[in-house]
Amino acid sequence: MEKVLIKQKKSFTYGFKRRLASSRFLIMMIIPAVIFYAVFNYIPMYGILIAFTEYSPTQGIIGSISNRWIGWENFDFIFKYPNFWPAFKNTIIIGSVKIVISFVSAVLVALLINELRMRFFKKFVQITVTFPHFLSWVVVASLFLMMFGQTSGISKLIEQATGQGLRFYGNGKWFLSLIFSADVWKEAGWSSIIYIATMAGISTDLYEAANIDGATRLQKIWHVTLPGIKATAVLLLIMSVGGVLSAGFEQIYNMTSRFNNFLVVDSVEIIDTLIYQGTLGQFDGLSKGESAAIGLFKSLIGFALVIVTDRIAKLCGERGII
Amino acid sequence: MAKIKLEKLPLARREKPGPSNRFGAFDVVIFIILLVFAFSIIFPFYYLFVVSVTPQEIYVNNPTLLWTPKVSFEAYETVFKEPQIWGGLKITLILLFGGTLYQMFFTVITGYALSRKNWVGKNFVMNMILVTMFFGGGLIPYYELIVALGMPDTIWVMIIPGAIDTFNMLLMRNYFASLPKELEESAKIDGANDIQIFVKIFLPLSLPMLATVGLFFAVGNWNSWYNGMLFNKSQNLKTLQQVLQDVVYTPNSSIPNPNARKITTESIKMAAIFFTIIPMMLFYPFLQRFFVKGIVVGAIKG
Amino acid sequence: MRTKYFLLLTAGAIASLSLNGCGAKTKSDEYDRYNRLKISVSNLYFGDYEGGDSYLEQIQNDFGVKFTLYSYPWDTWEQKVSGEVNSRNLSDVFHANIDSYNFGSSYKFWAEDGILKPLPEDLSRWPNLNAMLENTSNIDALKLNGKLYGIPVAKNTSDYSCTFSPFTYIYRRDWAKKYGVYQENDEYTWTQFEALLKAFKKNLPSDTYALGDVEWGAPSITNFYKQVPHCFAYDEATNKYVCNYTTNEYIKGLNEAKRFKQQGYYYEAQNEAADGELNKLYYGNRIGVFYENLSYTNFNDLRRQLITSNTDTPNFNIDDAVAIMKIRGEDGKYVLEGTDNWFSMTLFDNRISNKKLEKILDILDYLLSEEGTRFAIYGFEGYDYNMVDGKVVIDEDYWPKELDGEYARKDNGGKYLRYLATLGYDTLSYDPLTHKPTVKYLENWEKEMHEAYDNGELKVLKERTEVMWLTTKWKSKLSGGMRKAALKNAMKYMWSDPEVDTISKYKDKFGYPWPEVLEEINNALGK
Repeated sequence: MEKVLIKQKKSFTYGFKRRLASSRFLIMMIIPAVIFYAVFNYIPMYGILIAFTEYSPTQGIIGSISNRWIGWENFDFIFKYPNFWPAFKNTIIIGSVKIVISFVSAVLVALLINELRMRFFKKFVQITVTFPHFLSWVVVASLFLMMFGQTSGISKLIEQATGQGLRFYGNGKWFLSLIFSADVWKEAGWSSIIYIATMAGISTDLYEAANIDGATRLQKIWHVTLPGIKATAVLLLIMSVGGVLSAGFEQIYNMTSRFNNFLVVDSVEIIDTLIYQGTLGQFDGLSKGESAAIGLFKSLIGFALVIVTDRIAKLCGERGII
Repeated sequence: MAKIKLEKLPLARREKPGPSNRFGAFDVVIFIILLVFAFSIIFPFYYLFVVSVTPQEIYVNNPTLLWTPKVSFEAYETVFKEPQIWGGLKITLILLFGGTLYQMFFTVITGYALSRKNWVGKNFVMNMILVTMFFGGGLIPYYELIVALGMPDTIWVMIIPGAIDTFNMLLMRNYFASLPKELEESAKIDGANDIQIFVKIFLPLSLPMLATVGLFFAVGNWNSWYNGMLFNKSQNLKTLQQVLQDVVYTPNSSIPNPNARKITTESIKMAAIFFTIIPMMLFYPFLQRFFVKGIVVGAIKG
Repeated sequence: MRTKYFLLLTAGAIASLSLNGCGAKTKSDEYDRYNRLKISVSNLYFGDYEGGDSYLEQIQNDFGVKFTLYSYPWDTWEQKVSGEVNSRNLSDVFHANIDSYNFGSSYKFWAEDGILKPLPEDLSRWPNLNAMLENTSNIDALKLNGKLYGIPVAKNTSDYSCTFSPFTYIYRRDWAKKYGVYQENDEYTWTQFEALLKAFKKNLPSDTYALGDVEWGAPSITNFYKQVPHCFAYDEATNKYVCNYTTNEYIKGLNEAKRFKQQGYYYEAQNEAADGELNKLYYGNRIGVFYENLSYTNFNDLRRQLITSNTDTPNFNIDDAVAIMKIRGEDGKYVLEGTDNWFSMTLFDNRISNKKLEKILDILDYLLSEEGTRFAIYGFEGYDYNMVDGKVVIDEDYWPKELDGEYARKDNGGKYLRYLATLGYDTLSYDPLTHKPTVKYLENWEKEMHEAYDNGELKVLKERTEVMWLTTKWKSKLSGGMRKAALKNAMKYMWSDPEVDTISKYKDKFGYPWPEVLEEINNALGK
């Protein structure tokens, strides 16, 4: 017994050195990554402190932090800023509707493709519906403007047919629906791939058993296919909750930047567009410090959301993500 | 979770046609729905093409044509004559090849290192990477950093900061982790070190996954514009997407430049868009399976 | 998890160590191998021009400088400038939007923060430049402690007593003649104007509209009633600033606009019109009267678009399709929006040497002189042009032409550098690259309006200077958004949106932050 104990005590430092020696090549391989993340992700993090300063470009960030520290003033301001809470509300609405819509559409497309029998057509459909994922938002936004813009495309056809035009780009509600459909158009096919793969992994025994019970195809979908993808679906859904506050800046930026139309801004102004205007706009709206404060607020809430959903997932017996 | 072998990945359930599985009304309904969906995706591209070959005088009077009575390739001529488009293409091609190789190198070695077990510092690095997924410093310090590194107005600013893409890196890591451990163990017994194992054993085994990640990077580089927009001033450093934005976002009214003599018609805008997506449209059907495999392995294992 | 917090905390430490050294206080002068001083310039108006022509080379050699030219893209201009200012990654000479309404406070902030280099106080060394600056409207508003921190890019160098924007109406004279409502010399009184709209409405097909405003200008009918163009009107009775959009005058105009809407004159989707939509409609022959910014570029653009879209129309006369309409309001006066004759500024990085600044001023002064202007417009004397009896004669051999018979663009560095000081409206009438009849037509109109102003027949809408350039915290941050929201409510009222269908509901929309901002303004100005 004694001998064993001593051996264990000795082996701690000894083992660490040995492990270090044996990992030296892997450490060599990871050094570039450590440098990369330190330089491009960690160094800029001190910029969070801009949120507590009245930022001055001539003094730079460090100078502003040491000379122009104003504490919580920027936070006081943003909570009084008339555009902030509407933008916050829009972010939550757009973000959560997007999560639900993209989840439902992906599962639906997956189910349909999974049930499709014609081999060649199936391949064709899969190639077609996954393609838009690889287009940039610049292109997608232009396509949508061309199709649904007020003086061209679909809305003109509708107007000719019914005598009443649908003003997709002039009305907040219609524009929101356009934002959501652009999201589905671009991503539904791509997101469905994962569900298709999961469905393909469901044991054929289950289907054969259902056949013996005389189940119809709808019943098989309900009782076999959907339960089969439940675990994957829940996991993906949880993962997307953390992103609820990023309601798709690139999309909204590109889809609104070709018309200075103030009619729809109220319904699509989100936190990220506020931050963008504040950091990169001239001085007409938020100052740099105030937009940094909004950014910090958003990061904190997003982080909290991730932690909470992760805990809930673990309580429900799913694998967490942290 | 179950190990999934990439080559045998089933992408569709194969069922023997039984009595209840005859082609029926249900199949017709599915067929029609999917047909409509596929149509809704193809139609904009068709319409884009139609607008791009419609002469301006016809388009302004009737913008809803499904086909144009007079086909004119004038817009394409204008686009092809535009030196900026070719300049943009040149920069984008440099990014496409140079940038992709550079990103692949760093992403793959990082993914490999993180896929190995029990080495000193692994958890530290892993946590370090995860934190960056939630917190960032914002644009101003990033700008200061790029300026301090002397990168503004060079092509490097569009390449160097993109060395590692966390998503693609995790994809690679998951794939390496899914390969059998015995490969590594037997090579270790033969006295090979980690770098040798990586280069001689793991890399050749992961060619399909490398292709996938490479394609993800390639698409990203083809679509790249953000860093160029933020940091570059010179015209000759604009990427194809930036040139496209210049063409497409030319406002319809109120350019105050008295010297602006060009009219950017709708057909020129559409021709420019068509020009940037046609390579992807041509290659995508043949490469689609790589993309699909990549996302499946990444998501299931991640 | 603990590692993560640790990492977060250490980030700051790493950063302060690594970045403290950056951001030098001055830029040292650099010379190229011919010993020419290097100067970098960023400007919006360079477009895709990058230098490389012999004209620029000539200037460089004459003045001993070497330019590196960059252009800002139109759609991300402000973002680019802002990013470069904040990281101090600026060109020696740069160009920013300093529109009093939205961006005046940027200028003030940058000047106070030491981003910008002031011009020397004594400008007598540069007489041409100095003359132009003295002609610039509202130049005093830009002076801080007596110093001018840049050169306002003038739209013209006219010496008229008032300046106004060419935001006005054009109309289809051919249609007016056809329906018998044409008035001599395009002059319309308020009743004649309405009669014209009525005739258009009656005779035109249902998808063609009598009246349309460019989307940012709607509802233009209120211009004939209101006192100031935007938010802050001055109330003589109480000696205070009040909200323009709830004054009795504005509401009267709004009701008139609403009546026009209800009569069916207005483009039916005016309230939801997107950017460029009205322009498209106009050159698609679907609008009778159109309110737009009729600067030379826009006007010429409209003309050319209309010509293309009417290639198949027999007997189409472009002059009759884009005629400027002169409308007198109910009070018998024309109305135009007042403006400063500039909206952007050429600014200098504070870190450049005095020598460099003086070089740039030398060059601009030369380009504004008579000889320099000729150089910028025509090129080399004896090569591109000759002087015959004191008049310029272009040498056609050196001027390329386009298929339509007009001169093609000719890159001339002098012309582009001249944009640093003036937009070239002063040279439009003899620039070979402009369409002379159009320029002449616009200039005649402008002259007429100036005469009308001198006779008291033109009302110029303008905010008082003291409030226009006032930069208080809330006003700077909110007034842009307040103006947009106000216009939106006005449009909703006109279209009888259930949310804003009565005047009292409309007035209710001007709650927070209007009273707060107005109070701040009144306090700051001691009212």
